[in-house]
Amino acid sequence: MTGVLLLLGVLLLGLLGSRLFVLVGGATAGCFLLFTDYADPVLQLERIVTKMESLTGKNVFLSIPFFLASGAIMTKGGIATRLTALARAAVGWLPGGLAVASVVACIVFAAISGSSPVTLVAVGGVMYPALVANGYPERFSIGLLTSAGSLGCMIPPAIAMLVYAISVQGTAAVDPSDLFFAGIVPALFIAGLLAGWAVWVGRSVPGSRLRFDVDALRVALRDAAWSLTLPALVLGGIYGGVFTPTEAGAVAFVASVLIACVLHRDVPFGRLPAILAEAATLMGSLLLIVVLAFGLNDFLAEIDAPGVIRGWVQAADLSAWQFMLLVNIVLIVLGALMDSISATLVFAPILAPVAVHQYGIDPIHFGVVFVVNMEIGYLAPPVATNLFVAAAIFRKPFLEVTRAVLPTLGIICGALVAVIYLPSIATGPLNLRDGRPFWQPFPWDGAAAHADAPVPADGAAPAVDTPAPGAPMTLEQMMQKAREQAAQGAEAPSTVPAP
Amino acid sequence: MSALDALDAALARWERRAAGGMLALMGVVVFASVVHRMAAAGLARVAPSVRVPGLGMDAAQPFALALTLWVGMLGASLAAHERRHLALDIGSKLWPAAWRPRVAAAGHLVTAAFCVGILWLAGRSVADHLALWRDTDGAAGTLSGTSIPRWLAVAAIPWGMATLALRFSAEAWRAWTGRRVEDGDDTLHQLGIATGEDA
Repeated sequence: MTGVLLLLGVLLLGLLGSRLFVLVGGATAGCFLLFTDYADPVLQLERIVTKMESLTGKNVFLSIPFFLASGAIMTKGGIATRLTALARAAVGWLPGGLAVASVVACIVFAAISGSSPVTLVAVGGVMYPALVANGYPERFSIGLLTSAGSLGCMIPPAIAMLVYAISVQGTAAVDPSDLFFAGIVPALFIAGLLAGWAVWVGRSVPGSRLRFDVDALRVALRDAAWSLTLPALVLGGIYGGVFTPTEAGAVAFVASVLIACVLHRDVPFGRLPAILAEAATLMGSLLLIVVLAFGLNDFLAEIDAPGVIRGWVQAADLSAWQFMLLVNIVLIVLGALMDSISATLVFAPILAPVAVHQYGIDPIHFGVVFVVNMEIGYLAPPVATNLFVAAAIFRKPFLEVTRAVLPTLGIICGALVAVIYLPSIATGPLNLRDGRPFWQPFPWDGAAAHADAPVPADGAAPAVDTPAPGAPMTLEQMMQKAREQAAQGAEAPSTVPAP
Repeated sequence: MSALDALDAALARWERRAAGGMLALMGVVVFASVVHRMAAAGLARVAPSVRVPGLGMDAAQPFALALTLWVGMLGASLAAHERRHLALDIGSKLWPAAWRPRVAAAGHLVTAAFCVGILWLAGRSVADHLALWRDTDGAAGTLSGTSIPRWLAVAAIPWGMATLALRFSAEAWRAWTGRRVEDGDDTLHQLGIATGEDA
């Protein structure tokens, strides 16, 4: 009964048009007051503030404002034009070349901006008129750009991945740099499928191929070279062991100022304060939701929500593949009803420990699957950020945009199935990097293997032997190290040594 | 422009400068710590006996994290000024057009009340941190690994909640008096994305 009351209260807040952070905070406060047994309600509610304050101990969070600022600085310049020109010159000669170039431009731009909606606006604004002018069907053009724009949440440094890494702790903790690395191939896989779709449609569009021009490619490459160094610098620095993901944010921030203001001279220094204030505003609207969701996570941990879910799946006798199928259906529905960041903050800490402990799913693999779901969430109505943005920038009714993305949404859902049941798509490159076999089978018998294992009482992981000096760490040992660091509130460890 | 709007705009100008400045400072400090660490590592290779001064760089990330909270709360306040906090606009669309100003006002008032609640709780917490820091002469109540008082960092929360409460109260007043009603169709605006026409 109290649960129904709480649900009605949150629904009423939604009907009144209250801000999302009030919905999250109100739900958190309601949960603490109605479902916990403390004598003093003020002490219960103070835990919300305590969790908000805990942000000062989460180093990974520091990278978010830096990447937001870096993306804001870079996108204020002419980077979208430079990158689309380069993509056109590089792949425009293929069948459906202009459409393929749109996908490529979205990938590279997303790597710089880190934001799906910003990618859609920047690249879509340039490429949509060009696609239509070259004879591509309007609906196809809208669907392709809207879907390719959503790749932003998978291309490192992706804010969605950072939020996932912040929200999961204990047994399911992941290192953000590993998550970044594991997300690259699935993102390229999805982009490849979208490009394949573009080629397929482009075959029947006369004039869809551009003439290959070496000089144009050289000029475009020269113009975009500095922009391309930013993702290379960030990813190279992280995986080269030069800096952590958090520090990479600061490096990206300084590099973007250098590129946009000094090298490209697209952004005058005088505009920087306004751009930084803009980034701060964007971060502010995100931060409130994030810090209030910490309180909700605290409540869910206190009532052992993952344990409850574990009990349900044990009672339902679900196998690993059935569990993952169910989780993904639930996540797609949630992604359609909630914004992706809130859905990650609330549901990742509940579902990830069950997947990892109960079914032996690799935590990195589950993280990637979760983020692909959130990408779908950007495209699944009614709460689909990229559909709203597309309707606004392409000036089309919401329903038409929704219909336009259906084929590409189907392609991404197909890719999701492959990423779920072929974990190597995500974890293979990581395995190779760490000296393990590329192939990692899906734990089809995960339930049988893990159902009887003891459940950690406080989210702590079972002890794992430490590696011998000089010996490579096993996956378990690496996870143990990540958990220990997460438990200390420190940034999750990089698997590469600091110089 | 009414006195209320003028005050709101003046506060937003100050917040923009403060948030932008803090964000720049965070970037520079953390970047400097990376450069310092790399320089120290490079020097250790060529001249192992030379000891590089720490320059307080160990505190760079805790300091930047404290500023993150301030930048975030100032940004949240600015987001309220610019009506950029995400809301489920479907809810407000369900009401008859004539009711919407009243419903919007009620929604903003609820938001303001929520902010007042968090303000009160956060104020108590800041007072506790301050008392601990004072009673121990700064030996406790500091951010981990630094001498930065914790109360100074977390004071961002009551500050932000106070300005948010004021702004949403003012917004409720504007909605009630019919001076501003959201059309629920401003996703791009809420996401802070300017299209070609309004950039």
